[in-house]
Amino acid sequence: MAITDTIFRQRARAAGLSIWELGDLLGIHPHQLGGDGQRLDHLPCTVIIDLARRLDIHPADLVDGLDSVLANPRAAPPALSATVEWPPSVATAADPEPPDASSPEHDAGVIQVALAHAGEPLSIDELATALDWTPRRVTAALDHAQRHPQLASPVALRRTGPGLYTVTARLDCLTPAQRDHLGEAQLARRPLSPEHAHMLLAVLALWGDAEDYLAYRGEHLDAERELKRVGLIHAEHGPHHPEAHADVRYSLRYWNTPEDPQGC
Amino acid sequence: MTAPLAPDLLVEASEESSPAQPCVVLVRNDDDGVGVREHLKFFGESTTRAAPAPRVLVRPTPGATDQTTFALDVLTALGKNPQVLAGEQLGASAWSYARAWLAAAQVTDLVVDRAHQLPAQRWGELGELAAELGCRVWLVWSGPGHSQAAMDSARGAGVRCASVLPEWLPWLLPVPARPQQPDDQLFDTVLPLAEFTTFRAAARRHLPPAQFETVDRLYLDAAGIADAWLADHQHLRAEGRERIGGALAAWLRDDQLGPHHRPSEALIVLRATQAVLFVGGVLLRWNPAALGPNPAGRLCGTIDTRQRVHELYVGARTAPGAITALSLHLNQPPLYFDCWRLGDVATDGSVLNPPGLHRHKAPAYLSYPDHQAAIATTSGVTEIPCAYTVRIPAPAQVLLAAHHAYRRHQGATADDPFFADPTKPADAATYSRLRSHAVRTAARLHHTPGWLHLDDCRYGADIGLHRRAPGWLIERGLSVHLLDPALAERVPHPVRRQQWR
Repeated sequence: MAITDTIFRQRARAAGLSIWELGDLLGIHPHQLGGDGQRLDHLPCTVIIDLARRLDIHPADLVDGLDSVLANPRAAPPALSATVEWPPSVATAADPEPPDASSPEHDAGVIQVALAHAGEPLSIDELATALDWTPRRVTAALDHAQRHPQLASPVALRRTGPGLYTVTARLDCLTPAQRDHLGEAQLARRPLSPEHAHMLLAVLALWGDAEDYLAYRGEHLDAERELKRVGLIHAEHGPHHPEAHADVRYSLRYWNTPEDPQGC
Repeated sequence: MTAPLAPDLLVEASEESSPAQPCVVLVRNDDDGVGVREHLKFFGESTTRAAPAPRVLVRPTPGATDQTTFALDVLTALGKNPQVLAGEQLGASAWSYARAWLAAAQVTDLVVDRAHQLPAQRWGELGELAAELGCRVWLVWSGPGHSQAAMDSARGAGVRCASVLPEWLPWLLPVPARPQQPDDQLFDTVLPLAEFTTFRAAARRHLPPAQFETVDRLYLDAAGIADAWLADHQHLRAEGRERIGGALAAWLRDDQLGPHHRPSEALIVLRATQAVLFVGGVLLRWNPAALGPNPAGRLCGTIDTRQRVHELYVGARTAPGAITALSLHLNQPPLYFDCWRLGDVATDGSVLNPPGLHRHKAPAYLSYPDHQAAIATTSGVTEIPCAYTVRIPAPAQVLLAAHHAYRRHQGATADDPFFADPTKPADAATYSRLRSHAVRTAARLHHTPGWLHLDDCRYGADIGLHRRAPGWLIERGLSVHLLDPALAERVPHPVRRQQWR
C-alpha cells in the first residue's frame, strides 16, 4: 500500500520543505505531489527515485505495485568473469581511474564529512576546490554516496538545487514523536536574534496578507529558512502562507492550549 | 484571661498616660523578679534575630556613664557588630548614628534593661528620643534609685509617662512571633531551557499538571503586568532604543524581575515578559551563555534578601552601607550618586526620585566610540540611574533610611547632597570617595563585582583596553532591541484581539 498522505507530509515537514519547495527541487509542479501514492504513479522514474532519496522513503511506499517487482533478481550482463562484482561500483566503471583516486568508500565518506562540516550546500566545483580534488573525483564520490546510502549511516546526502549538495539527518530513523521532541530541542535553547525576531514578527503580523509577506520574505530568505529549520514556523501550503508553530502560538498566548485554538 | 489595660491599673504618672501612645513607661521590677528576666531574655533573642526590627532591647554596659558607650550599646542592640563598631572609632558621633539607625528601623518600642544603672542625663535623652521618634521607651527598673526622678526628667522632654507592674509586661510587650517563611512552591521544579517563543508549551509538556498550574499562574500574572507596563510606555518606542531601554531596565530591576529572589520564579517571569514585549515590538533578548551553570540565578536582584543586606548593616557609619547597597542594587559603580539631593530620597529609604536638576558629572569615557560600541553590542542601554525612579528592595531600605536620618541630624536640607563630602557637607561627595567606600565595604563582604574593580584590574581600566560596560541588564545577559514598528503595529494582541484560530 502506498504511503499515506500524513506520513508524506510529516517527512516533508521534517525536511523543512513545503510542497512547493519540494516540487521545485524535483522539477515538477507541486500539484503532482499533493495526494496519496496513487497520484505519483504517473511521475517519471527519476522523480520517484529523487523523491525517495530526499524524504528517505522506500520507493515502494510511493508507488503501488512497485514492491512486488523490486524483489526480482538483477540480470547479469553477458561475458563477465565470476570475480567481477555485480552490480558494479562507480569506481570500476569503464573510465580509467584518475591519477589521484583513493577508494570510493573513502571518497564518499570524505565528501559527506566535508558537507557536514560546511553546514550549507556546496557545488561540485566548490567541493573540488576545498578538497583539492578534480571535479571528476568529486562527482564520482557523490554518485557513489548516492548509490550506497548506508555509507552515510545516520545522515543522508541531499541535492538541494542544481548541482548543490549537502548532508542532513535521515528521515526514516526516528519516529514522528521522536522527531517532534528533537525539534523542540532545536526550538529550545538558542536565544532569538533580532533578525529572526523580525522574521517571526512578520509571520505573525502579515498572516493572511500574502502579497506583503512575499515582499518581506524576499529580503529575508535566510532568516525564514533558519526559522523553518528550527521549527518555529512552517509553510505547508506555500511560501506565501507561513504559520507559527503551535507551541509558539500557545507560548505567546494566542492559544489557550497547544492543541485547541478554539479555546482562545 | 484577657490582658488588663495598664492605664486602668497602678498608673502613678499622668492620668493622660497610655502605653498605646509614644511615651516613657516605667516597669517597676523592684525585686528584680525572675519572670521579667525570663521574658526579656526571650524578647531580646527574638528582636536580635529580626534586627533591624521595630522593637529593640538595650542592655547598657554596667558602670558606663558616657553617652558614647550608651550609643554603642544601642547600636549593638540594633544588631550591629560590636567589633566593627569598635573599629569605626565613632567617638562623639556615635549618638547621632544611634539616633539615625533607630529612626531608620522605625522603632516602636525601645526597652532599656536595668535602667536604674543609667546616669540621670540618659533619662532626659531617652525622653527626647521618645518624642523625636514617636516611640515608647520602656525603662525596666530593677533596683534601687530614684525612679520618680527618671520619670520627671523624661516628662521634662514633653513626653507622656506611665508606670506598670512587671506582671503586665508579657501582655504589653509580647515576644514577637517568628515570621513565617513563605513556601517555595517551585523548589523542585525543573523548568525547560526553551526560549520564550516556546517556553510555556515546553513547560506544559514536561511538567506534572500540578506544577505546571503553579508555573502558568505565575506566567500569566507576569504577562498581565507586562501588558500594562507596555501599554503605559509604548510611546517611548518612538524615542529610540536608549529611551525605552532605560525605562525597561529600571522597571525590570525594581518591579518585574529583581524582586524575585528564587531563580525559578525569575525565569518564569522573564519568559512571560519577553513574550509580551515581543508582540509589542520590543525584543528583550536573554543570552545565558556567559552566566555560568545556573543562569536563572543571575536574574534575581542583588540585594533583595535580608541575608545579602545583613553584611552591609553591621557598621554604624551610614554612608558606606548606603553607597554600597545602591551600587549593588544598580549593578554600577557610584557614577551618578552625586546627582541626588536629600529631597529626592524618601525618608524611609524606599525610593530615589529623579532630580529636578541633574548635577552628575558623567565620566568622559562614556562618549568614547569603543565604549558606545560595547554598549551597543551588549545591552544596548546606557543605564543612567538618576534618570528614572529607583525603588530600593525592602531589606535594604533601612540602609538608605539611616543615611537620610543622619544627614537630617547634620542639618542638611532638601537641596543638600544626599551623599556629601564629609569635609564640606554642602558639596556632593566625589566619585573617588564614593567608589572607595563601595570597594572597601564590598571587599569586607568578600564580594568584588566587576564594576567595582580598581585600575589594576585589566578589565576595569581603559588604558589600551576596552572598559567593561556596567549595568543591571549586562550583568544578567539581557539586551534590548527595537523591532520594526510597521510590523509591530500589525501584530494582533494575543489577549485583546482574538484573530488566531
